Amino acid sequence: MLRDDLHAIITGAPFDFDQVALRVFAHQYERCQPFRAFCDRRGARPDKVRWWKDVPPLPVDAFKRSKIYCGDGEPEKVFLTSGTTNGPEMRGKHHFGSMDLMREGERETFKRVLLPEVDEIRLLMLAAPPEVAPASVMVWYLATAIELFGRPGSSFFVDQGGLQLDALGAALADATAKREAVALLGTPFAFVHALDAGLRAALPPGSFVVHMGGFKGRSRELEREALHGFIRERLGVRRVVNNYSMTEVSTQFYGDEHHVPPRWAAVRILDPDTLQDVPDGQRGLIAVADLVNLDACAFIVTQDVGERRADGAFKVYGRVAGAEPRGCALAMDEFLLGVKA
Amino acid sequence: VDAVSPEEVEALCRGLQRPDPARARAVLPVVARRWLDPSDEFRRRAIAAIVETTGYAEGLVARGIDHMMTELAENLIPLVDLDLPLGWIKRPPLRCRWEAPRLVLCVFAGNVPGVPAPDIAGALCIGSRVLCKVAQHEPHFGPIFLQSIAAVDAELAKSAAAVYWPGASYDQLRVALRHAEAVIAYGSDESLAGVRQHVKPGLPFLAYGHRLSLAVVDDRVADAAPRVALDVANFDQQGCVAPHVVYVRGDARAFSAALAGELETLQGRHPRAPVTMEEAAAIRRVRDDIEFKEGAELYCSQDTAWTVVYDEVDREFRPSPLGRTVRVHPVRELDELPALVAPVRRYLQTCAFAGTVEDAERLASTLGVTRICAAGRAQYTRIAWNHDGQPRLGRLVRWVDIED
Repeated sequence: MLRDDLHAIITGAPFDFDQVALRVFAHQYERCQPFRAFCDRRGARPDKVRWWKDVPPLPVDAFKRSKIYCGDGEPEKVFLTSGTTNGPEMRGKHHFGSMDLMREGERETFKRVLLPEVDEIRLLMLAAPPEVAPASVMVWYLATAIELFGRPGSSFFVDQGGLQLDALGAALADATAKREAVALLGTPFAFVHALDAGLRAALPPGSFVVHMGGFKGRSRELEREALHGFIRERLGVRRVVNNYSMTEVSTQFYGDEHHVPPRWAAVRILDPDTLQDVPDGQRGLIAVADLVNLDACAFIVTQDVGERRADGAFKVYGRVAGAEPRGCALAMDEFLLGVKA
Repeated sequence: VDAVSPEEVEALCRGLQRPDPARARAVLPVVARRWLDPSDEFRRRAIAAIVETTGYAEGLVARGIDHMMTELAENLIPLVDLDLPLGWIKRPPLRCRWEAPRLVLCVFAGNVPGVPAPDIAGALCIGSRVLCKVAQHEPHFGPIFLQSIAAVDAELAKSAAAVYWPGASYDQLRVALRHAEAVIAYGSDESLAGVRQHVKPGLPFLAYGHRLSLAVVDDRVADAAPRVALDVANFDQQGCVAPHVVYVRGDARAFSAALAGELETLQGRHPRAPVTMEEAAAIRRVRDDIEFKEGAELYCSQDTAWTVVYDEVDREFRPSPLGRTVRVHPVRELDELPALVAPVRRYLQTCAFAGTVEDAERLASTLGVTRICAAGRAQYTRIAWNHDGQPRLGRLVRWVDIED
């Protein structure tokens, strides 16, 4: 079965990317009417498509107007994108028939990229817990990280009252006193907010920071490097990593300057005029082939600008100018701004 | 393009000669007629330069120049003679005469080539010196037009100059404004605000900023689709006169399909200019939204060269990302239009129209636009037009009354 094969791939089974991609395409073409119609309009049918780059990537906006769902029965979870310009009814929805593939993917990438030397760490989340933000896939990811890798003391530090700065400070002081490494995860805005509010620490070796999403014009515009410098200086950590992902997919792409896809995902950079690949080193729209995005659509084109390196790693420049800001970072920003106001 | 220094602007302003308006009125139609000759050197150079810098289709650039120069040749002098006759006029019990500004400063934008010609010609015809600041994106037409005046009358050409400095560099602007007694400026609201803050209160300041235009079509007009297609294709909608939205009384879906066919044909003959990544992404975004929408239909090229969006659900005027992207909405009655365009009413300018004269006259008072023209003529403005609702030459001059 396809789902079983994908599980095996996540845990290390050898596979042919193209072959699996075409199986996933055939599965999704069969099961998702809006995607099938989208492909048919472009003459892309499973019997005609020769390799995965022939599958037309579905624009993320499709998730706003159509149910992009290939799962069996009722979805286990439905997550919402945060675009609010056109009102809440225009938010994109990602239906998951089951969270198992995303959970296993997170287990593999989180461990391999962030925790190569230890099996668990105290995770301090500059975000609201699932009870407060059940529709956020980022929050689900954070909660799952705690479930899979969290040492005692792992917690969320945003509630209805906003960022719990005192509790967070106490947790950092406690970890420092015990010489226990910690990981802080949250949106760049949450970090800027916390550091601006005076959060400081000299965290024990092995501590690191993961920030997710971009600024998107909502908070202090700090360039990536400036943000990293700010975090390093104020928290005494050496490692600062960005997690690039989006509600519509199931995989996280970690990186500092360049992001590296896991084996089951690939990134293309497309010229928005022609939707053809631009040469490596040129800017275009980021398109993701995320093979484990089985219950939605594995082939997505985003509204983010990126640039690809010959080895498949890619740089993220953020939202294409002029497009409506959206994404998980914005939701958190709005939440924090909302509770502050 | 090389920028001039503030000192050079100072020297230029001092060096310009006052033009003889009678002479200008005699010479300029001759200049314009020369441009209508396909072998004319200045015309050929201008078209080549504009195509090179803007990427606009050569055939449409040539057509635009033909129109502009025909207007100058035929309608400029009747207009100035009518609006601003030389000498005293009677306005009982007064006698009045107008005085021209010593120098008119023109700040041009790069979106539509050829725009400088009527302003330069008009200012010379009232006896004003002209200093043109050309745009970085289209810096060629202004200087070539001045050279073509010099080729006919070297003396008259000493009254005008065209230079470039960066739009955000205000040192040159401040120097020019020490000499200018009137300003004509085109550009974004932001760049106009930048100019405005340096203009002394009371100085005539004709500012042409962001505007939005539309087309209104009665589907009983047989050739409406090719005409609207030309309005959409002309300069890739970069001009403020180009329609963003078409309202169709009758079968809007059939009109959309016909319009799409015409845009496809035009793309073959007069291809759209290359677009930036951001522009292409914005067009994709409109398409992505419509493709999955109930009650809407998408007609488009494979790349982003042209896009027709039929939408019967959300019919309020929404600005287009341009680059030959147009929305089509059905209406049962033209009386629905004022409410549909209400959100953008204060920006409305041209309505390209295909229908009866009675309907056009009704729209003139209800729609909030300042210009109604035949569909297919949106880009071909008349020199006599009241641009954005105001006379142009008339606003530059100062009237002096004598009470006898």
